[in-house]
Amino acid sequence: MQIAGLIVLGIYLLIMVGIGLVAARYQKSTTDFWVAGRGFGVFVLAAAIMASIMHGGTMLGGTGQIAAMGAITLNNLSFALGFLVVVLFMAQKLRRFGGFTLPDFLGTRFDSNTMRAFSAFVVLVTATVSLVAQTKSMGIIVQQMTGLAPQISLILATAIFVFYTTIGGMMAAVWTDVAQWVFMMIGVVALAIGLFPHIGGFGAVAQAAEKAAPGWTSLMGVGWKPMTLVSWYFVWFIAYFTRVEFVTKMYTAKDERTARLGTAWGLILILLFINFMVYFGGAARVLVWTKIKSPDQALPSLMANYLSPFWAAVALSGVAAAAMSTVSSLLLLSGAAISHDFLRKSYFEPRGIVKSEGYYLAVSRLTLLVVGLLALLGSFKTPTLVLTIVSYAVALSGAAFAMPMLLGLVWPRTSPAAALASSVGGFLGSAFWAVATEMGYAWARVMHPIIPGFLISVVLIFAVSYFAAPSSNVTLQRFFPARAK
Amino acid sequence: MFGLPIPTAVVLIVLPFLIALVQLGYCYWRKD
Repeated sequence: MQIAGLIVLGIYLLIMVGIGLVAARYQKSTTDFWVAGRGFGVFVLAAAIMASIMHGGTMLGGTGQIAAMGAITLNNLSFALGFLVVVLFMAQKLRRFGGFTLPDFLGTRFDSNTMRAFSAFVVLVTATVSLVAQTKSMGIIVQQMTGLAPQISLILATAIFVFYTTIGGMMAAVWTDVAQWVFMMIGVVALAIGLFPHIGGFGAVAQAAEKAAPGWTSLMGVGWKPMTLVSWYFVWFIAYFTRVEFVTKMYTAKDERTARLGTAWGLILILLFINFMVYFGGAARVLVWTKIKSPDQALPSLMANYLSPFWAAVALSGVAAAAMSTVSSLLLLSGAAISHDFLRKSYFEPRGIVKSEGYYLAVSRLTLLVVGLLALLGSFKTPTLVLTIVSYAVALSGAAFAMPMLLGLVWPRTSPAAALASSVGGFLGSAFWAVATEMGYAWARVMHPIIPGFLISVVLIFAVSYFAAPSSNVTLQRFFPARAK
Repeated sequence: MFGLPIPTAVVLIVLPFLIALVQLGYCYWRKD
């Protein structure tokens, strides 16, 4: 597979570099850099949303988990409901607001630089630690594909995504997402075609998996407890509509209608894609489960055993593409938090210091380069703390952002003090619960850290809004124009 | 249905796709 892998990787990397070089020619201002000049149409947006949400871990870990715990493990329903929240309440208003980052929205909606700085801090911490972990897993996938040394695989893959993101900004990230989406689809379709003669279609796989692992097709899967399963679905419902790399894509749509349509089509693409994971999970349970050492090997093992070396390399390039499309989005988030939210909006502009667009563009690129290099160094020797934070990153950002984002867009009465209290309380509640879980307290294991954090944020946002004043009329007219009339 | 018991098929496939399609229809229906 090594030579085929190197050839496929070579083609893949050339396409990514080419897109980066073309996108670099369009970078004239920070609007071009952070939100690609706000010009994307429905299908580009949909493919970009899909590719940046689906990461390498979703494919590897997801298939393994489904193989182990049953078809129901795939939380399609959480995706559908999370996207519904974005379509109904967020897409149009976020695009109309037209900022660069999530902290831009929260800071403006709640007339508060403290809110902006706190949310930028949460984005920076969660995006950067996820970036380190995802960079590492991307390196492992490239190594499996090419047989190159682990460190060389890591450096090669990181050099490419840091290169195209640094020179081409959001435009390069989104167009590479589209190309990566194509690789991902070719990868899963190739594997499905390779498996079909051995195990049959979806129904046959499900029934064979049920025979191999009784309960695999049941509503409770294999070994799920009802409460754990419900909270698993709930956690991911909150997580999907608060994914920062997802909601900030709304800013890049060419208009409000496109933002909504791109999200709705994004969901269709995701559902079509991830249902392949159920098929692969079932096939892995039947065909390779007894031969592999850990669930993460389920998908690569299917590829190695049931595809020719060339097609196995193509399929694995789909997993590498899934990983790379996510790391480029995470790199943009970390970079924007530092150079846009902290440096420009929290330091220079409040002090009346005026800098040119060219200056900010150069600083943005420099920031991405530095963060990318730090992620590379971090992924060489990933500290345990990073891995621990990654496993809770979803909880931390979900609990910090869900209520201020949602109520900030639908309930004019939401007060700035309440939004800040809810965000800080949700973040700290989740962080406390995560630490307690890690320290091994039995009571903490009863629920995922996002749930206590989320409950705290719900209570705080309503309770404090009852007492504290809402945002200024000027701000409210901007976000609720119908109410002003 | 799809080789799955009905409740699993509903939670795993029917409901999510139904929500997705209704959502898509809603987006095309809204003119603003």
